[in-house]
Amino acid sequence: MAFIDYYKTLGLDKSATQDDIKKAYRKLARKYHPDLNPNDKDANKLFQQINEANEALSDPEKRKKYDEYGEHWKNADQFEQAKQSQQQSRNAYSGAGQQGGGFTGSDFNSDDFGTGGGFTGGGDYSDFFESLFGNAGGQSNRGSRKFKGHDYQAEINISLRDAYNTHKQTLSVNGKNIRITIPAGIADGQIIKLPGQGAPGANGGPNGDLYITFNISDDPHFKRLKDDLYTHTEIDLYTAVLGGEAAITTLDSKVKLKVTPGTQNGTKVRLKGKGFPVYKKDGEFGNLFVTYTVKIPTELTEKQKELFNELKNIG
Amino acid sequence: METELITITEYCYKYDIEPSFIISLEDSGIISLTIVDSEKYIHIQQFGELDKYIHLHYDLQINIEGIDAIRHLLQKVDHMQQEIQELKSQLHLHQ
Repeated sequence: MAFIDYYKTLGLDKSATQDDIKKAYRKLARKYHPDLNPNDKDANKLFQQINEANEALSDPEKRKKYDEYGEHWKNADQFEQAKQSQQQSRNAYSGAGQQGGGFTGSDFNSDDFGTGGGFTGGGDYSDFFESLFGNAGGQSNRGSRKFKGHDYQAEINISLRDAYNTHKQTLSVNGKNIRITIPAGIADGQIIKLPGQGAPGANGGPNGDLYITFNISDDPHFKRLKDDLYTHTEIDLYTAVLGGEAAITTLDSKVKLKVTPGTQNGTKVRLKGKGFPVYKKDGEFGNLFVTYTVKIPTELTEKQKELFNELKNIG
Repeated sequence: METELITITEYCYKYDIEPSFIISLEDSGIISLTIVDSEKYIHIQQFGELDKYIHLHYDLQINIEGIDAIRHLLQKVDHMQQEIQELKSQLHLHQ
């Protein structure tokens, strides 16, 4: 993760007072809090950043460390040790009456210890945050009050055909594999909550929850509206005029439909109970609507043309 | 049924919050509590909702009236999101 300027995150500069930080945090938290921005991933991410910035800057000690080491936080301990050992050796030299040029405290700057790769963590929180405050998952300042961990959001993409049947799927959330059962009939955009699978709670509070949003991809043959399915099927002109049968493939079987004589192009028929399974209602299905597309012959033989003309003259 | 209810005292101890906050939510009609033998209980299904109100109150310093207003607005947002989803599906059907 790139270096995060916590002051910038809170819209402040380095001279900000603790009161300014508190005010800025509250203002931004009210704007981007996940509870006030349901299903808004951007707001959720921003809230985490604001929380992290507040954690670092609202505590004078932590703020001092942040101000001092900035992006070279990884070398903070090394730096401190080197500083101490330099101090000791300087004392030793001065005790021995030597005038070595050596280092002074101000000779050190964080660049002496290399860049250390900066912020390279792949998580939602910068490594600086984790390094200084542990992996508490961005809990805000709440003193010792027990509090539920933050909720996680995840997305699963499945096909319409997958959504037709109850099936199991494994997803990885923050390095943890979670196996879930997806009930038949799940809707596009539907959100399922898995209690306790979110971030760990603060001060012994319960874990947050995991919210999974399902995205159902389009199917080339069927369109879905709630529990009903819609499809098209072609019938030839003669079947449309004289009646007959049409074979339809549903999502799980094949059915034969009786076509009544004189069926018009665009006629819609309903097949009760042949649609999509109703979510969490075993044995209940929506309807399948089939729209007939009458195929007009394009390459007629001379004989056919003759017969059509005859029909025309009769009609 | 008994395992699905928790006393206010127990809940507040677990979350380290004041029972008066829960009572204020009930007084304002934001939540309903279950009364068994004159004792007030919270149903486990209300936990998610209560978590949200705790966040709003303790993290964001929003008072009870503010929570009530936000609750109404979030309900509207939720209905609108559902409506958008349905309209998208209908539009998709005709595309």
